[in-house]
Amino acid sequence: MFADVMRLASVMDIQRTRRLSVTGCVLVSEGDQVHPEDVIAEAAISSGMLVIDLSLALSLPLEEAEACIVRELGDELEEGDVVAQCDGTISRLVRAPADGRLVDIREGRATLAAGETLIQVKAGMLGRISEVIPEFGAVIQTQGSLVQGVWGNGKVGEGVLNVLAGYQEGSLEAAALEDVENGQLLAGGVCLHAAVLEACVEKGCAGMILNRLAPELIPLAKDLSVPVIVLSGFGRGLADKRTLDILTAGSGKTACVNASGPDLFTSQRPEMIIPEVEGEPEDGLGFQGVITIGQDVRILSGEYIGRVGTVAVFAKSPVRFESGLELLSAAVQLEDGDSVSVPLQNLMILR
Amino acid sequence: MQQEILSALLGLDIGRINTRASLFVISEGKYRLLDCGISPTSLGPELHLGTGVNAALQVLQQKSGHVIMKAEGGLVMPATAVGLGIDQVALTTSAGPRIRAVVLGLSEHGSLRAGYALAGSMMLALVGCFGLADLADGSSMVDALIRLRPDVVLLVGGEDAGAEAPVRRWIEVLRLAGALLPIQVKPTLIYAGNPSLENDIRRRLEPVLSLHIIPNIQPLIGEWDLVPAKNALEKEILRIWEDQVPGLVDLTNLTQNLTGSNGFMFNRSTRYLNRTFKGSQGELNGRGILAVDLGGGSTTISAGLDGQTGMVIEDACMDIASEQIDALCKTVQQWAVTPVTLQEVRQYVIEQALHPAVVPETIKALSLSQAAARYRLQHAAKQLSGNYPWFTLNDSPARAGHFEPVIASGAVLTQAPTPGQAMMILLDGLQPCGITTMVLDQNHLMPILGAAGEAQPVLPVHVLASDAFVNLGTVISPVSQASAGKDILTVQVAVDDGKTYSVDITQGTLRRLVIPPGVSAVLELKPSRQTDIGFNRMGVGGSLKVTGGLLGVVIDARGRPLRLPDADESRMEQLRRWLWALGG
Repeated sequence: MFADVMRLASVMDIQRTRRLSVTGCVLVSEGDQVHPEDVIAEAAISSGMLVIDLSLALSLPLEEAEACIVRELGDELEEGDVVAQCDGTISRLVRAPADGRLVDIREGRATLAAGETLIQVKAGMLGRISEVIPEFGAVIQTQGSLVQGVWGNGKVGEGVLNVLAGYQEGSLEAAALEDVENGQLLAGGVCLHAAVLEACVEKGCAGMILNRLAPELIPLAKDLSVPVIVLSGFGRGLADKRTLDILTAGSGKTACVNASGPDLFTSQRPEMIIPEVEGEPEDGLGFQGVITIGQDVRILSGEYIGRVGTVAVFAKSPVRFESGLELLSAAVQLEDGDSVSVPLQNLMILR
Repeated sequence: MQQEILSALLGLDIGRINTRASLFVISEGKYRLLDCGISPTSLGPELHLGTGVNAALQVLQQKSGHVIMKAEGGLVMPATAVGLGIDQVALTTSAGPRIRAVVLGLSEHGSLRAGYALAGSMMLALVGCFGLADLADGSSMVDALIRLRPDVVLLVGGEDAGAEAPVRRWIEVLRLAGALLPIQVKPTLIYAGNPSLENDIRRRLEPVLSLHIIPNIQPLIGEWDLVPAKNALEKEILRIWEDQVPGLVDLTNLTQNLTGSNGFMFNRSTRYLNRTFKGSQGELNGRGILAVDLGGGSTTISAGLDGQTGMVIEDACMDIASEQIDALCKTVQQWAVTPVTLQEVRQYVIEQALHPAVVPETIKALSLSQAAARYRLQHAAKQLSGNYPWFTLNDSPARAGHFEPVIASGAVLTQAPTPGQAMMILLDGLQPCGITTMVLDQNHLMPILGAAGEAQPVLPVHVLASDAFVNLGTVISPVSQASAGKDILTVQVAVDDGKTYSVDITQGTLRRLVIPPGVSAVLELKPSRQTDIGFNRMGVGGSLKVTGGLLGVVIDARGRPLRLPDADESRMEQLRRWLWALGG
């Protein structure tokens, strides 16, 4: 049985490829240390089209106007440069209205690309460049702790990790943020109040790692200027000890957050990395894996939603649940020792 | 050329959540479904689609006893004996992402509307739709195309021998954008507009874009021909998916061009079956077919009527940060049979969007999943109706197209704990008028039948007539102006075993007539003067021969559109009463 994999590791080798979709310029070299906001590679596509009607400006028929052009396609022009010139008793000139590149001449009109659309890929993590992919990007590597989440607001950032008090107890209050410092990356339990997210920005924090978030706060979290990732899910639920242990071990260290994804097709999940952690690295799995006995899993539904446990045994035949559905299932031993029966489809592998 | 008769055809259907393997064999001169195997789809950059396929094939092989795979790996091809090997493989998939598309056209009510409907029927993410008004600033349009970086551009506009000048301006916009965009992100252009511009298009755009010229999507005002454009888009979608989805190209190589996207093949099945039904029951004018699929990744609704077909594919789940999620949650809450707060609905909707494979464990979760299914059906049917003016389900039966059967698939329906629950989802979601039959496609065969039908046109007909599809029941939905509680219809039932009885139906009720599965009965339907049951006009009745399905015959006289009580308790009580009427 395949299930989604959420990586949760105290120490693992972490490699991320950052690649442009088009050829461009790689701005890093092998061995460089990078920060989440650093641009790894960028490409520019001409845009900001300005059409200059030469026929109109020179008061000439189309063919004659085109013959007056004194520039070549692809020429880089500065504002005021002459584009076309008509000699006669009184010389007439057409000048470039802005800096740009001449990209088209047709039917008495010249088109100037006065701007560019910049495509960039950012590092999104703290690490070292282990490989440059010429013209496209690079591979970034580090050994560290990794905690992935189910949702992120698309931003990236870094800061000193501060695990807020009461991570496992009830919901987070704005008051819990009173003593936080500018630039810290905050890890909190369940966020049910907008005031918590607002306080995070007001205090100049670098971002938030939340175990759970109230669903109605998603739009606010999405628009926040700093990264926010949600680890376990939405609404009320209990935090797991395993995640808390990793966060606590990293408290006070510099961590980074890439709140992009999840995206099945790039294997990207929102994630927090605490780089340069020493120890024996754990194995990783892909975006999906096979559920096996002894594996750590998170429960995705029912009364125990969000809880973490270990697969103890697979049921030999489908189990009938309260809903009336008969489903393949496993007995999961929770962190507190209780054992519960969960449909296999409702488990996520933690590795 | 006579088609070679294949004795064993393997269908592979790779969805976002599940991979299904179905084996069709010839038995007593007819194709039938031997068995199916199912496994979760193995999807992602580090995985190969073949892993999930292998797992599904193992299950199929074990269940059917038919040897499909060699011990050392690979398929046993061709079939050499009964129960050994297969002759051909057909593959459908919805495992890939939506492809970014832009539609460029002219008038909002003409070519653009056709382009919009077309885009909505394919696995496309429509990132832009621009018309004549946008052409006023061609430079901005060049910038927009550069910013949007679509994978596919569909250029439509100008009827045959119609407008040329505005299309020429689009050509110039595309020429410039095509020249500026880097090779890796140059879109493919599909031109489906005025054919008199084909030479210009080739001359101007072939040097800068990959180009496909196909017949005009709107050859005459108000007349659409979407099929060639669909075929071209389908090829493009599969080409991109083969690049992006690990393992897909290996699997398509196993088929002999019997590969297609799920939605495309689903629609082909609908079209094909519509033709077949029309052929066999030509006396019924305006008879159509409707197919719906509530899949893990998407909702698909496809209808065929009088030679026209239309389809809509919507994502199963909304973007969780969308502002429209509140409206969705309110509708879902309305249809839940258990007490749920808006907060709980929101949490359910979001968790389902993040983990679409999750199944309901509790009664509350089941109630929410079934309520969400009603919303998905209502929304998709409304969208289909908006895109294709000929499609209407819950208008007066005399005016509405007559869609029979309604073929439905998706785990929320086929794995519903009782047939009554599946029927209620379909009735509340689609709110049909007149007479129809609800059929469950329990093994999600519709897409694969569309692909397999290419090799063996008789295969879909044979399989649909077999027990691979489950007859849920005949539905009679009278529409009446009578007030609640008034008699609107009398049904005299004559069952084949000689038993007869009569039932009076009152406005506002839901009633089930027990006719055991497979047993035939003749119904004499006598509507009141104010009641329309689909026999051309109000007050006209007639005789109807039916074969009992799991629920016999269901008479849905609750009125259209359905109205639910405002108060939570009364509403849930009402929903429960309706469910009990169908056996719970």
